[in-house]
Amino acid sequence: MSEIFLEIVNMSISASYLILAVVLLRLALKKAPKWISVALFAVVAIRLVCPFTVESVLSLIPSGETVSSDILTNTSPGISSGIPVIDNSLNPVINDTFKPEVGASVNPMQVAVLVASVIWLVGVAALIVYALISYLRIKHRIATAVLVSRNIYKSENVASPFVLGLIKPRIYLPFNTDPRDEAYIIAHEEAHIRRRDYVWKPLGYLLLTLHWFNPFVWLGYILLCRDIESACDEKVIKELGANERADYSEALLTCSVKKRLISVCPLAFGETGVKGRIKSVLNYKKPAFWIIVIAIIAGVALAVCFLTNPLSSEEPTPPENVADESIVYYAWKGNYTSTKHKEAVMEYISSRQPTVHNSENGIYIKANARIKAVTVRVFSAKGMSDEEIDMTANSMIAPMVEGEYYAFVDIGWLNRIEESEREYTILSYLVTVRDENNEKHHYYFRVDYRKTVARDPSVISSLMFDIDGDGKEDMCQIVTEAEGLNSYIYYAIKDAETGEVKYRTERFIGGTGTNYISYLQVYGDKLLVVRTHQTSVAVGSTPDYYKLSIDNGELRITYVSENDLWK
Amino acid sequence: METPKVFESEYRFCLILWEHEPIKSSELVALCKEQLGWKPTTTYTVIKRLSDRGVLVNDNTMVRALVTKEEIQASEIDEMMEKTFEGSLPAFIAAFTKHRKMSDREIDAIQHMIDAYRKESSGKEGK
Repeated sequence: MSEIFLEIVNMSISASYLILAVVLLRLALKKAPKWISVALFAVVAIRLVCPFTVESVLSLIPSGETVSSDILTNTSPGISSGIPVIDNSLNPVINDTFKPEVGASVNPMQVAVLVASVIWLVGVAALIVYALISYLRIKHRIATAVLVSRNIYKSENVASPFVLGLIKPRIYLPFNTDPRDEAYIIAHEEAHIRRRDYVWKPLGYLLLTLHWFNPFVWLGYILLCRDIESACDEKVIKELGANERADYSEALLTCSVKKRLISVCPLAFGETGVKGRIKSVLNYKKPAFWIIVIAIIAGVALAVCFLTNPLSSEEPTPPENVADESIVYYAWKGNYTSTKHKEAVMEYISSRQPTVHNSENGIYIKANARIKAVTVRVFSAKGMSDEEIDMTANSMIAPMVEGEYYAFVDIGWLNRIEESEREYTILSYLVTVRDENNEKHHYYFRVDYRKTVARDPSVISSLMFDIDGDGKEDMCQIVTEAEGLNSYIYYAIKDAETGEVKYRTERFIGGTGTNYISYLQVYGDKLLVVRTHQTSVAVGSTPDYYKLSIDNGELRITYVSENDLWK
Repeated sequence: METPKVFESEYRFCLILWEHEPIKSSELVALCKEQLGWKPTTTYTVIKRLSDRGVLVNDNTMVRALVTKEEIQASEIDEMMEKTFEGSLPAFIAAFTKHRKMSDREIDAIQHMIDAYRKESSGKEGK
């Protein structure tokens, strides 16, 4: 439901720009026929309900996805409204307020969005219930309406004439309608029927219920209702002579004034501004042909500019021939200074398959057999490049443990690949590791150049291991955060299904700073934390080993000497 | 006893009743569908309502009026409507116009506008 809500919010935001444009255009097109105005709102309706769209360079919408769905899982949540001023002022606040804690089981942004979705749903339900109740009450009231002719009924329970019925619309008039007005009223209501307003208005209302939180949509609906009435007025009076137009105005006036009615609910929308309408009726002149042409052209231009989205800087999804299960969306949070001295952050996207861990310069991918080749493909907004770049020579490292094979993907190397692509804000890489059994594993990384982080890098390592012996594999994670010369290691054991943190602890390691990485490894039947002393794990440097275990309901870290590793 | 009041729609129903009574309720339903456009449920509801009010009697599906046309008093429609129903229509209904509480001044001003228009255009058309 959170995703649906976010979709609606994005559509609402895009539509708001369109509504503003329509409002302006409406003012400019005052002399054009009103049905064109109504048609403009049809364009708005499409924007409000259709999540799919085309990207075009002609788009005037600042951003097609102001709130992207990954805000729920992003470690530094933010919005991309397409307007730098707004982004730069809001994103720091959002980041500070909703930053998910590493190792925490609940992401505050997810909670906030969920709460908002619930409130939204309640609002929608309330508006729909109100509409249903009103409709049923009216139907009840007019049950005894008496057939006059064709589809015209009269009832003592009708205060002012209206059309009702989705499939077979009927006109309802009060019994005491002045016969002089009756013909005009019927003509107006018939115009509503011919224009199918008895369908558009409820549809518009339905859209309004979905976007009840957006004041622009309310504004749009109010103006739509006004334009619908004016369009019907025009349809009737364009065939009428001057005197008849005056008679029509009298009918309008009479029907809108029922002094004896005590309660007149001042509904803001649907308020048809009688004075304004009568003025328009009396001043009506058939619009010139060229005005109609201009108005239609303007309408089409509006549709193109506002129904399309701007070219996105988002990367496309990975290619279809890569099996879903074999893809690890994993990235690394930290600083990276590119050769262009821009700071980019690779973001932690998700990790359910923890055969990857990362360090300051790159990512270690663990394979189950000897690695034969490492290739990479670059994604940008243009799409995936055809070139498969061979990184084998730069990627393989000697096994630290017999039977374990690592590929090291150098981020710096990756970023040097396509310097020209860097004009796009997000680049992604699909790294393919092929082992000697010809099994391919794919790893998908994303670098977001829009976000700059000035903070010491963190290192994450995770592994699936049944640490509490309950037969189910748990998600075991450690995060190393360097702070100047010192580091903190956060340990968390999470439920593999729900992500709920079952055990948690932390350690402070003094005097090591960034020159320190720890990662998880299984030795025999033990889960070990391997603490190395260098940023790159070179053969020959001896790490320290600590066993992670659950003892008496607590997470324990015990030193293991090298001799005892395989015991 | 005071003559019961009927709404205008009920009055039209009574006209049918007076013309055909005594009449089987099912036949009455058919007549009301044809002449008034009423659903059968509506007709039965009205029969029950009027029977409670003492306007007619439904004796074993035979319906007979208890009041004559001369005796009936068509009620003040507006008065009854005021007391029971509010006038506003929901936003999603296509209407002729909305009721608005306008000041007498406003109404006069608009009427004035219309009259002026009439004079002006009749002047033009006269030529």
